[in-house]
Amino acid sequence: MKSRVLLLVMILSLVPFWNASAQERTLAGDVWVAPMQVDIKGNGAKFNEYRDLRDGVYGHIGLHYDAGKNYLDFRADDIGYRDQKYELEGGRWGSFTYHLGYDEIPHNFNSGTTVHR
Amino acid sequence: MRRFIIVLSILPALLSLWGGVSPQDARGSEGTVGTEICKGCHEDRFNTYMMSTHSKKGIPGSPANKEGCESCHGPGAAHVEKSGEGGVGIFIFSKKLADAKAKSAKCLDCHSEQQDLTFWDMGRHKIEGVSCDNCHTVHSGTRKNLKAPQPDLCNFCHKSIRAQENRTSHHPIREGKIKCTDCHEHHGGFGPTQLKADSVNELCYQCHADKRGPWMWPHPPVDENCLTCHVPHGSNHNKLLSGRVPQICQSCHDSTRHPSTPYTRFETFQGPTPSNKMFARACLNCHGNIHGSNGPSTRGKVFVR
Repeated sequence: MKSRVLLLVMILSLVPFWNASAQERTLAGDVWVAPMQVDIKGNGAKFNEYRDLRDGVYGHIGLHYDAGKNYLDFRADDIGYRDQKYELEGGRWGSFTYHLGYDEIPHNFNSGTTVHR
Repeated sequence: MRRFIIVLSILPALLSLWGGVSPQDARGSEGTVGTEICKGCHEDRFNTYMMSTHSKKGIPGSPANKEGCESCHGPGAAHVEKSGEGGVGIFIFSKKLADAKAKSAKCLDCHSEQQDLTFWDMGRHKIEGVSCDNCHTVHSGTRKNLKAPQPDLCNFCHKSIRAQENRTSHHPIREGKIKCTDCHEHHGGFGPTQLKADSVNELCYQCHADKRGPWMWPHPPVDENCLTCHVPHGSNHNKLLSGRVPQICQSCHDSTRHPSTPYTRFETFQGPTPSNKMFARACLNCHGNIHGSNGPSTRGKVFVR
């Protein structure tokens, strides 16, 4: 359900750009993928209190699409992790703007500990 | 809910079909020379200007649809005639050459009707001599033309807040999950800290709704002000508390029943019968529902589990 809604939002957000001429359209941004190895010495739960840093591959997408009067920004961080974040912002200069976002914030208090030990 | 999300997703497309305001044509005025002349000498500044939203002709009323560089810096004919000599009416956004009021006035010529600037005149930033160009720059392609992302931008001046954000117990500000502008109205608002709500509690309840109640047995300081016990930006005590439990509890509960005993190492660690008053969560070991309780009878009244 979530992925269908996101896909629908993405497609419908591109509607304003149909009328833009090729000269007006510009696409800029950055995309990176990076492997990460994490070695935590100490309190792992505190280290990851509001984030999800662990061994794995982390990705980021930042795109800005400009077509004359209309613009569209898309950002995605920590894709697939517990602190993943997606933002879609667009609008028409001088008329309106919209902002759709999805942001996961984990809150770790402890890990693997019970009241019995 | 599903229908609501779908309608919400269709909304941007529908809005885009609305015609909006057409951009005005570029026009010149007396004493102006045009952007191309400025570019001849100030190409680096011109290039950074072209990266910003102000250079976009699609934006109605933008400098690109007016006099370009001269929309903000003033007519440049005299400046060009004297081969780029300074002090000939060119407005420069510099601390030495213009005060904060004059610099902000330049921006407000166009942005005065912007909704989030309604309270700029009564805001703390204006009173303290902060101008638009302290945070924004026209010469960049950054988001909202900001000179740096939050919280670094705010922390550049608010250094004590930065220190608090780096304490062990903190809101997820340094993790990038909460921005300063989520709670504060940076462009001006009511109250000394320009909060985005009528009171501290109303602001906190927007995220911490479980602390709002209503309770059968409310804890009065919770209703009065969250900051009676908590600090907003960071603390070296758990849960953003302004002091350690039980001392913070005893700052009020000092005259009735068992809390009236001052808790020191003699009553806890070194006494003949070590108690739980200083261990683990101290008072909160038993009084777990400290924000308020709906428990029956005396259990709720003293906020025990």
